[in-house]
Amino acid sequence: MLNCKMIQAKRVGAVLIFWLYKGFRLFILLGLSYLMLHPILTMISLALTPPKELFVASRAWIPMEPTFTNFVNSMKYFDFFEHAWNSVQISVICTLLQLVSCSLTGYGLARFRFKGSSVVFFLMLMTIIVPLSTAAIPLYLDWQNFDFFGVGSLIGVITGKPITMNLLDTHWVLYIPAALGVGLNSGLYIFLFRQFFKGMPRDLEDAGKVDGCNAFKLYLKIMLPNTKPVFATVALLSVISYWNDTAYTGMFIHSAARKTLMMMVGQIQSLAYSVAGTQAYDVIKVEFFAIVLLIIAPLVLIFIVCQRFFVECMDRSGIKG
Amino acid sequence: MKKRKIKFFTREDKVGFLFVLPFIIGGVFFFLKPMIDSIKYSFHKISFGESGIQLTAVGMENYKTALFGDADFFKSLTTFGWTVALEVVVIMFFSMFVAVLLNQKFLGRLFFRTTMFLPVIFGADVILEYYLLHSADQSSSLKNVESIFGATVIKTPEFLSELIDGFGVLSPAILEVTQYASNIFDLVWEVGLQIVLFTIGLQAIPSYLYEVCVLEGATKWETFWKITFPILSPTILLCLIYTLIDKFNSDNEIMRMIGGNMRTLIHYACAQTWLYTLLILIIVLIVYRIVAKHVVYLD
Repeated sequence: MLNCKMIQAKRVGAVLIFWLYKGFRLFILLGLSYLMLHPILTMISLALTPPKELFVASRAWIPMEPTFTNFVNSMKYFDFFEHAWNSVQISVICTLLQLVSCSLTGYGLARFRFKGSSVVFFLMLMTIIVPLSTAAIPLYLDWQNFDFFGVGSLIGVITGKPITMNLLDTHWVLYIPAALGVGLNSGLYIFLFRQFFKGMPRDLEDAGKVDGCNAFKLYLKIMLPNTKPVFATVALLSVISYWNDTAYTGMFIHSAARKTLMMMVGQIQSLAYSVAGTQAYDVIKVEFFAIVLLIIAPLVLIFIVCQRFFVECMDRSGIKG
Repeated sequence: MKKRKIKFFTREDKVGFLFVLPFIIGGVFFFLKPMIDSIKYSFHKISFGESGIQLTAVGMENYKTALFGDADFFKSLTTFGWTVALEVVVIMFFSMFVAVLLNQKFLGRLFFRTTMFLPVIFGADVILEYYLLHSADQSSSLKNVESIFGATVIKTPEFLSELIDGFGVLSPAILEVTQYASNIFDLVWEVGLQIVLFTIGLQAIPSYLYEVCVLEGATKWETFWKITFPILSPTILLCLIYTLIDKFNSDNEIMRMIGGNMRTLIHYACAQTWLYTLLILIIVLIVYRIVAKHVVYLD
């Protein structure tokens, strides 16, 4: 009898603790989501508010007359489409180039052992670890006098007049490294490709070999169709990093006509600071929010499309070791 | 058979080399060459003459100045090292905690998971700039929508700080912890990818192990420390290294200091970056060596 009561009491206690725990979990997660969503929701709310309503004290989350004037104004003011075209060009082309170069390197490192393959692997690790700023000045000079990988200088030794080209302030400073596997985060993607290719069973390739495929055909006809998730993931990460980058791009691209959208954000911000304290400040600030929303909208769309692949790839990429 | 295999592999050697050839070219011209140039600069004094850059060899002088002559640099290097160490520990615990919560089954899990993905998608910078803009102008008429949890808004309440003072010797340590609680906004926006990595690591744990635990009558607490934590250890190592590198390579006070020097004293800035890079390499190597020893692999 006593025993039975004890069990009952224990069970009640367990149920109580379970519900307390559930409440605690919901509380924590709701709090964290609030931190994440609050700035975005505020931005959306303010960006939809018409300028004259901004200074009304009773203004609430949902504006009385929502408009898109802020979006239209800011787009006009900051040459949105010009910079958007730059951003799209850079992220799409660099992503495609990175997919090719990083996957080839990853395949070479995953499936072949050749003289110096460990040196290549070490080089790849170093490109991940060493900060970009270490090479900033020499790289700047290299881009200023780009000699086509030594060919120009070699001709210079013979003829006495080296052939160099100033590539600063052109998009080539982004395309060339991306094509050669040393673009933004390229080391990370090579590592990801290598891990994923290593996890694939060799049987498929053996079958291909028997049927007479050469190494490149194996990669193209067997590896590539079977590893779509990792390609989608790298494409997603690469588009995001090129779209958001200001550090590398800002170092080598200066003229206003070639700037990307993200580089404009800083400019708008400093403009807002310059008129701080006045009513114009609030108007500019709201336009800033509008433009930020426009900039991050494509990323959210791409993410929604790629999410399925993203999760699947991360599941299989052998983070286990 | 064996002979043929060897022959086969020697043929494949060259093919593998072809696959990585683009990367080798890129690595040599856009990574190694600038690195070597930068090392060269760090041992010279740079002046701009008639024919471009002029180098004068000065030996180790730049390094000596950075280490012994520049009190500012050395001091900020050590303090920054400690800050990163503390922050990385906090980030690891926090992201693992959230990932474990998100791995349980409950209503609205998909919503919470997607929310935690947000920082991965559009980078924290833009959102943090939003808060900077808001806090730059306190008199703004937009203040009535000011965030409650904004990075600058939360302060340790007075009664708490009095309580902390009461701990005497321990109070600096406690203040350190409360400081992170106040900066929870920054923290949440930094741990996006770590949460994703941990979630994936958690999902990779085979469910039969948990079934065994239930059968054997282990408590949840025991299950976590005997099953989840050890199997998660490779993910912890990966996350740790990633967080360290990310912390060191993202915009920070040292980078800004060096960036300022890059404009005027290029040779000195190069020496500084190399000292900084050396610090990163040593720290990453030490952490890797220590943690990798304790990592458990399931297979």
